Amino acid sequence: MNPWATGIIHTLLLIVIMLLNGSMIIYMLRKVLGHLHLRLGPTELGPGGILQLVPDIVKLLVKEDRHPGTTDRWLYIIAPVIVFVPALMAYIAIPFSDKLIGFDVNLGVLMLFGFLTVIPLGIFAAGWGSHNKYALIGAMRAVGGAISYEIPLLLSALIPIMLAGSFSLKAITMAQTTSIWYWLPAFPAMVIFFICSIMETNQSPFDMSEAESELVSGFNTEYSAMRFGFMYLAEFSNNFIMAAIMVCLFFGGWSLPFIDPNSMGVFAPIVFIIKTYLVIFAFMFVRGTFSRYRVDQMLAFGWKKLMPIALVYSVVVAFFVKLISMKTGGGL
Amino acid sequence: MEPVLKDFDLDGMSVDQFVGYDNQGWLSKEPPAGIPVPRNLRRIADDPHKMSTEHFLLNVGPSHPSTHGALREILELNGESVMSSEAHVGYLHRGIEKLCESRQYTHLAPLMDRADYAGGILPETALAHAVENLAEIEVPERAHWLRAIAAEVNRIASHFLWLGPLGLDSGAMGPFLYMVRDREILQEILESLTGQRIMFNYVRPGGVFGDMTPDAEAKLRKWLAEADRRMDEHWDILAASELFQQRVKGIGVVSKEMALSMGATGFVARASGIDWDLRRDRPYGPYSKLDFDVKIAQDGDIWSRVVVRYDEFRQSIRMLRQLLDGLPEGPFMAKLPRVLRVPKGESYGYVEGCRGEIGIHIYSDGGTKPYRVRYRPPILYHLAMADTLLPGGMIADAIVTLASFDFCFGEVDR
Amino acid sequence: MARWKFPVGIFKAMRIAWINLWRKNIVIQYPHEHYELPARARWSVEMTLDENGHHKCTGCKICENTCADYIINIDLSVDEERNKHINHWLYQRGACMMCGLCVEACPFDAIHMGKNIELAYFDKEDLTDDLLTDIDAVKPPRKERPAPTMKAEGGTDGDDS
Repeated sequence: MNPWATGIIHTLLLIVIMLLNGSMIIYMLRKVLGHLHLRLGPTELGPGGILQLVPDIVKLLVKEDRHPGTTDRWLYIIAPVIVFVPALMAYIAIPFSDKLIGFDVNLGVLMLFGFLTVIPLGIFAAGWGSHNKYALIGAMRAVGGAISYEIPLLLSALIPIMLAGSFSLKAITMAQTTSIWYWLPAFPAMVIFFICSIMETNQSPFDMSEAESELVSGFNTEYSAMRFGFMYLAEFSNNFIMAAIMVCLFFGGWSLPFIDPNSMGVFAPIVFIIKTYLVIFAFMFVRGTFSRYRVDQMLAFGWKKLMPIALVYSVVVAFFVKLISMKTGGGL
Repeated sequence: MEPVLKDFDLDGMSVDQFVGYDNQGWLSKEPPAGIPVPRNLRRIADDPHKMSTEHFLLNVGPSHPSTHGALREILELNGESVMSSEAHVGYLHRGIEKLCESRQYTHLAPLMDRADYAGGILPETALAHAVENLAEIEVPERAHWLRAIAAEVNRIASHFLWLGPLGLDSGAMGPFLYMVRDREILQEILESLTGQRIMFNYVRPGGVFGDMTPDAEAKLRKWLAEADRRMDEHWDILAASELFQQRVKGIGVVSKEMALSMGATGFVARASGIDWDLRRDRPYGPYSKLDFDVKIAQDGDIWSRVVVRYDEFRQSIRMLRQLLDGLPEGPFMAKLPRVLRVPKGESYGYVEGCRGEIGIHIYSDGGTKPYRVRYRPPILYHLAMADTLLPGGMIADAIVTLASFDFCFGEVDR
Repeated sequence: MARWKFPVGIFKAMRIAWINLWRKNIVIQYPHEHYELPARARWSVEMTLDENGHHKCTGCKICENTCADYIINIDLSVDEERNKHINHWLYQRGACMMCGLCVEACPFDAIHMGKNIELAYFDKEDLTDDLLTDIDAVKPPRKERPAPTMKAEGGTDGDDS
């Protein structure tokens, strides 16, 4: 088929997946936070409140898009785009099953993290372009936090890569089907990856950039209507992507413990999605429970505690991997 | 600025001669000689372009998700650190003290409810004490005990309303709702007893409005049966978590000298090492017969205040059990004429309020309505300390420090 | 790093949150369920009817003089034999703070605090309610007529104003 046509169809499919994911996660967030806080989430529209999203989307589309006259117009417009597009692009390399993958890149993990690094730039552009002191403070905090937590994130992601011997997400998942899932030998790495994912997705206890009780809404104070909708959707996509990467790296992707991975067929993407949503549930549970870090405490935690642990553990794992490969004379 | 007393003679002066603030927070003109200038205010707005551009002013304004009530706090920030701060109050001023001059003594209770709206029974009790001292009314014993039951239930409810937003300001959404659940139960108890959930109008000079209903007693006993377990849960969810402790330890330190010189009372004084509790040291009502402890902490930071208040919860629960079991029989209201006429003089009635010592000073000229009522708001003096505490920290510290003093702006502004 | 203690508190907090996730919610879903008000609850003022369904107001205006916010306004007309006729019994439901002082002051039990909580209206005219229109006031029974400390028809007593 014409490669342009396949490209366009793939892109549209990814957009549809992104929108479906976003709506699922929004519904799940409201229900989980509701039950965690002894109340129900939405209940009126549709059975159990499923259709609540429809009026929300209509509201976002119909609202007036108003911004103060003193904003830096070019930055103000481009910021939601910078935040949204990498979140969309990162869906390419995620393996939903061994055949359903957008593009099996050799350096999958590295490419994904490269995309996700662009997002704090968009947040800073949003905060600066808004010409609002609250937004500026939120944006500065977000950038500071994102930069300092990327290093432990990458170091802890390096450990399953070393254990599997490849950067491609699909290869790492396939490697876990023949040995135990990596969360057990790489347990500190899993904990560090979890903590850093909470930071990268700007959630509590690390949501300095949109701390609602201090800065009214952080970097998206001046955004309304669909521009806000873009950033909102991008935040939920980010959630899904980080959870999906975590599942692939540590929890065996689409495979179940005692079943032959090649015979799973259509159940593979379902298992993958269920596992991802369990990780997202863990994110939301932590979100509704803990206090927030102060900025300097958060940076101190990232630089002084997480990074040394990740560094030391990666050296330890490298040592053991080399030892085992020398003994068995080959890969793991 | 307007004179409040009816016999203050302006003597030809116009009110404009007093130095005032305009919207920007600058001094409107050079202060005349002899009038002291507030220490935090350094700029005079003759030329705004002469200001330095390093620090910027952030207006944590009257409507903000975390100023409890209507406080305008102007922070001068250098990046994230606070250089100086200024509090502007007065957004909730309703003229309660002036309104008191046009009502009879028995009808003043609704106004006192609205001053401290989170704990309404306590200012009503202070007013009742003041009027009873002046008119020498003998209050029956059962009325004292009923007042104490309502006061302690209200104290616990008011503390929940402080602790939930403290958690919310430091980021945790969950604890707020768990405390709202418990506060709802207490408000239902107070509704069965007094008739309303917040503005009670229950304690009158001479006694209380109505007797204890079996409904209220049953609900209260049911809550007391599991109150200790619930308090353990509230401790675990918020104060035991290290993230919260890291936010509040060592921040907002009120030293003992500052507390004494600024007039801090209640839990702020107890957290700074001053051993003073009006229920124990100047007992009124049934408190001399009850068995309770008073916790003192030495550090004076936010964590000490949190610890002192958690202990107040537990002591109130202990007192409620003793109060319910020992309630004496008798009438609940003294025999008073329909319109109370109070002899000439002045008196001061006090209670240990939820936030400090609430004092009401009444000056009467022998009629049916008071000549002047002065409400001593405990939090006004704590707010005065805030301008010294906030500089040197960061914005996040400022928000949590302001939340830890338990501001209720009905009292500050009246 | 030597004084680092294991953060036990974080796990305690998570345990409490997990327990609360499975507890029953505290929501009363309003249009479908209603809240049971206790006996003493005070909502807006309503007329008490005796066993014949007749009102009991004598038009003495003690409640009007007691109300501190001037919310009750009774419009009376008195004929030659001193029979009172109530033209309007105006009550500003939107401004009432439901303190209950008028109900306590009434010597004839003619009003009580009702339990109707649905007091939101669309029109501003609905906020002022006319509880009795163009009806004769009840004559107070001779024996239990109290000695009023205030004059009945809005007079002043010394330094009241």
